[in-house]
Amino acid sequence: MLLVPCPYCGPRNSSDLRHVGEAISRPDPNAASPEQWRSYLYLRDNVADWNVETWYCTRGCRKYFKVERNTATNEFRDPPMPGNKIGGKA
Amino acid sequence: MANLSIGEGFIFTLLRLRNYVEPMGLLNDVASRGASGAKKIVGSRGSKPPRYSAAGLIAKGLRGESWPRVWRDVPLRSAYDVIIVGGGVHGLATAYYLATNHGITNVAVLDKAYLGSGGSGRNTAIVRSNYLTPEGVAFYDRSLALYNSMTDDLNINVMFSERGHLTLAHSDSALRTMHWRAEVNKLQNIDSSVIDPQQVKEIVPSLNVSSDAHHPIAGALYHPPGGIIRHDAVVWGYARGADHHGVEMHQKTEVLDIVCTGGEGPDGKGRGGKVTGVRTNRGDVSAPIVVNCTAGWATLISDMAGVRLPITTQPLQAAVTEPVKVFLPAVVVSGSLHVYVSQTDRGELVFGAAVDPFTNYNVRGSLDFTEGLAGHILELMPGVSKMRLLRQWAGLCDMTPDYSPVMGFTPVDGFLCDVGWGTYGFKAGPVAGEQMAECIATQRTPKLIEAFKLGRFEAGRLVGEKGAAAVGH
Amino acid sequence: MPEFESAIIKTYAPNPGASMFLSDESATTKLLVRSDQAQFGLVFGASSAVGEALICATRPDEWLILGSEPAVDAAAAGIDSGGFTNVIPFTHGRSLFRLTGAHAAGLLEKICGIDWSDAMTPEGAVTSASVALTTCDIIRHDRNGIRSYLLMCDRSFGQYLFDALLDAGDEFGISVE
Repeated sequence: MLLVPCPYCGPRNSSDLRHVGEAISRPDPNAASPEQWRSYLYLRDNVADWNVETWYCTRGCRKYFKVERNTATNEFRDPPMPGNKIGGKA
Repeated sequence: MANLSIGEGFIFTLLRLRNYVEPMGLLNDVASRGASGAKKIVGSRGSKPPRYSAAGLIAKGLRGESWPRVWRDVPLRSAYDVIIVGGGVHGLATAYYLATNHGITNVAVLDKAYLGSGGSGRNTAIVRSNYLTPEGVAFYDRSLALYNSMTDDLNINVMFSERGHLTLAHSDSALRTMHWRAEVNKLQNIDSSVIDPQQVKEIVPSLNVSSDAHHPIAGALYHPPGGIIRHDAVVWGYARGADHHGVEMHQKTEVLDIVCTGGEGPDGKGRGGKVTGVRTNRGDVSAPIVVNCTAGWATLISDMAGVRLPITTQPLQAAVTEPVKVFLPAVVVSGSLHVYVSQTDRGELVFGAAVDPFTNYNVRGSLDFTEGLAGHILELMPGVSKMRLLRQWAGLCDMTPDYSPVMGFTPVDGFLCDVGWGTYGFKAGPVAGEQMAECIATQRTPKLIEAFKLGRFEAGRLVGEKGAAAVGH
Repeated sequence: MPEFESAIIKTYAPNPGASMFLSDESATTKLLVRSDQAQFGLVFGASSAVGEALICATRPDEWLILGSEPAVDAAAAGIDSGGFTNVIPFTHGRSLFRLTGAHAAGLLEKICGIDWSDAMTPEGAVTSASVALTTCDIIRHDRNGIRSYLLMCDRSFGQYLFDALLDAGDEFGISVE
């Protein structure tokens, strides 16, 4: 079990949310090369360290937000950042 | 241990002796059963490691002799022809086949912990070949063939129990996928067919096949060649075999960096570069070829060479119950209920589930998992409600976007990958090792793994195995 | 409007002497307001009675109006229709149950991860969470000083959730009302 700090609902069990993944920025589909687009689709840093990622509060407020989590220890730090877009600038 | 005093302790000693002897291949019924009908493939060059025997066991017991080391403990040298990072089934099998099939023996296998400490010792030991894509089927069928003859090839009893494998369908659409898989399998001569709930009940009487269950069983994909195997013996067998041919195993040897030259990235890493060696906690080692077999840690290692992989790391949890009388004759998998179960020869039920729903490198168990698992198992087998779980654990899975592995060459010359095995790495271990060894020795990508090369992501040619690999073990 | 049909099609034997009650209030008129404007002066997590209707801020940008049809219509007059505002009739699409009893929080704690203490979820609190693995809007709405909760879920999950609540409430002596 993981207590995920939702900026709207407060701490929630991770089973009430969906882990969207690392927060990455989406290239402009009209300008991106196929290689850039596929990097955006498939490549992730996958660090064993602090990482900014996106969660979606499926069962609660139905909002996307970003939060920093340590993937080695599962600790969260810093206040979560509200955001409706996946991959947009915080 | 072999205190053969005549008296009331004697029978007990014999019983203990049997427990000790059996895993070592002396009562070889399991092995001979497993080998029957299997294609004999490995033409090993040179001799095999010595065979464990009952006579040897008794003789050593009477003389009070201890057993020799199974593999040598030698100092780390400063140069090798090939360095394999990761001492699990994949790394050890690659080393073993490099030595036996290609005569390349100046090889070091490095592991930051002990051999088999990662996924190789944490999986649920299920093997099968009834995959969904033709590429997957051909690949795993070869692996199953190697597992079938492994006891003879490695002279160690891997206790392969070819007990049959059932993938349950709980809906019309799941049943449709099962038919699809069965037809793909039959085309490639894999024994695989769809059976109805009554036939499921005949094979596994403890399953609840009634239509008033919450998720009634609509049928199953039945795969008789599937089964379970003793995963530790597979690790030790490959390590012992590789050692016998001169390969070195170095435990507690952590790779801290990969040294490259000529690449477009910092420090000569990245595309266009060439590997010259590795930096470890025990000193620098040079080698023209470095192979990444590190599963859940794959991206951490490949980053050291400046190679980005389409991999995220997610733990997969498993659990085991107290031992009971043997009642479950086959491996039972339910994709819809996210659970799979088999019974070991000791009588314990071994359970597994889907990967944890978020990426992380933590191998602690969770209550969510245990609770969900218990609920799902009781839907399938209400009769086990009084059984107690003994322990639970987790292993790290290297998940790819298409649930197929990443194998072979990378944009860095001399740096090869055998990763992205997700939740099905154990069953692929032997064939992955064999193919990677061929890849290294011939410097060409073998046909069997052509579809799994890293370049497929840039080219947009994914090999979608999710239908048969996501939970289906 | 078509005639209302509840998702609860099973029949149950009520026990008037029970210590906890579950009732099907799905026929209540339900109106959903989705808006990027602040509505009714209610922030996410709060509820308020407006006339005979109950208005609940169920999400940061979503409000739910419950009550009899005339009461809901009257309350709907207060909707700020500026910005991007949708008003959706939900009566037929959702099931609504009321769980009443001194130990109602004890029941919910078995099947839901929210802290149901008075300090965290006092009278009037509104939240959304998984109840028996079903996404629900939950409103603390006490009756005559007795702890009571309104639970709203998708109609298609109604019968399942109703049975799950009865199952979980067995140890508390639950009965349908």
